[in-house]
Amino acid sequence: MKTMFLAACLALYATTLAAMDKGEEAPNFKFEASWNTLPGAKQLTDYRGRIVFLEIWKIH
Amino acid sequence: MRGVPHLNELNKKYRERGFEIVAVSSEAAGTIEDKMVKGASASFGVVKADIAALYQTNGIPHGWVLDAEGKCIWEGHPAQLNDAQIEEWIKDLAPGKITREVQKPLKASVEAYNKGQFGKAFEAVAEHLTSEDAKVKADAEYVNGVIEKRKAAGEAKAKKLRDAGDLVKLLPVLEEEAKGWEGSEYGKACGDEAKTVKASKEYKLCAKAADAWAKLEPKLNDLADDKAAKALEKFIKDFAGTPQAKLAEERLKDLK
Repeated sequence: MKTMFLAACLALYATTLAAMDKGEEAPNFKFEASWNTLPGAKQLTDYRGRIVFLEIWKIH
Repeated sequence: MRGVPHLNELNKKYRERGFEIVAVSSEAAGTIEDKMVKGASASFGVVKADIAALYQTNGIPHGWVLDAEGKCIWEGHPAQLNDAQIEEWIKDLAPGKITREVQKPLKASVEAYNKGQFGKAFEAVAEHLTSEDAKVKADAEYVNGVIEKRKAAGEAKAKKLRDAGDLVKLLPVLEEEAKGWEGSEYGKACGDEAKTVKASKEYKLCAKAADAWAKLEPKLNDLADDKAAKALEKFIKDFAGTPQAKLAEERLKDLK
């Protein structure tokens, strides 16, 4: 029972951790401000043709 | 922000080879600039945008790796990113524009390359590869290396599609290569292959299969299992040997 509960919690965590699945196209968004980005890049799709590591971060 | 040195290192190593980091925060622009860009000396791309509704995550920081077409190929904590993974992701990637400052004799080649005129760029760089000026020679080798890598990426992309029998996607790749490499033997070979593909029965069948699959696939979920299976069996028979027939076979297996 305890194992099943843990498995259910892990499954729930996995589904809420990242809504985007592998193979799925990343939703586009516009940059409100940017630093050190590709010259002329104003939105995510301007990075097409490159491999992109997209990170969400927060100042602690 | 503890991960900034790791990302700075990856950015320094791989940016020129087509690996880009885009770190996004919804905090105030002034805070981002003070703390991240100036304070933590982030050298990679930093962006202000509110994407919480688009990209759901419980843990921060969290990241996704997107391929050249913007599709997700990895997700996890930034600290898990390593050299071996990145090398694998970028190995077949066409290099981006050349942004490095080069010696004057190489400027014409770089300009042509950045306009997508690879054949012209290749021709323009050749004479400088044996230059007696060490700086010119070094830049020529660099530019030539980028051009060669661009060619290898185009060849790899075409090979992948050729091997998969996906002639519908192969044709525009060959046409694009033929245009970019105009004036070179490689460009001519791509142009000739594009004409052969376009005139082939296999291409016509693939094009029909792609159209038919685009119509059938969205309807499958609304059909009863036995009717969906019959439709898939007919599709497999009508379009045997096409990539869409393989997709239909997979759907049929799932149904059974």
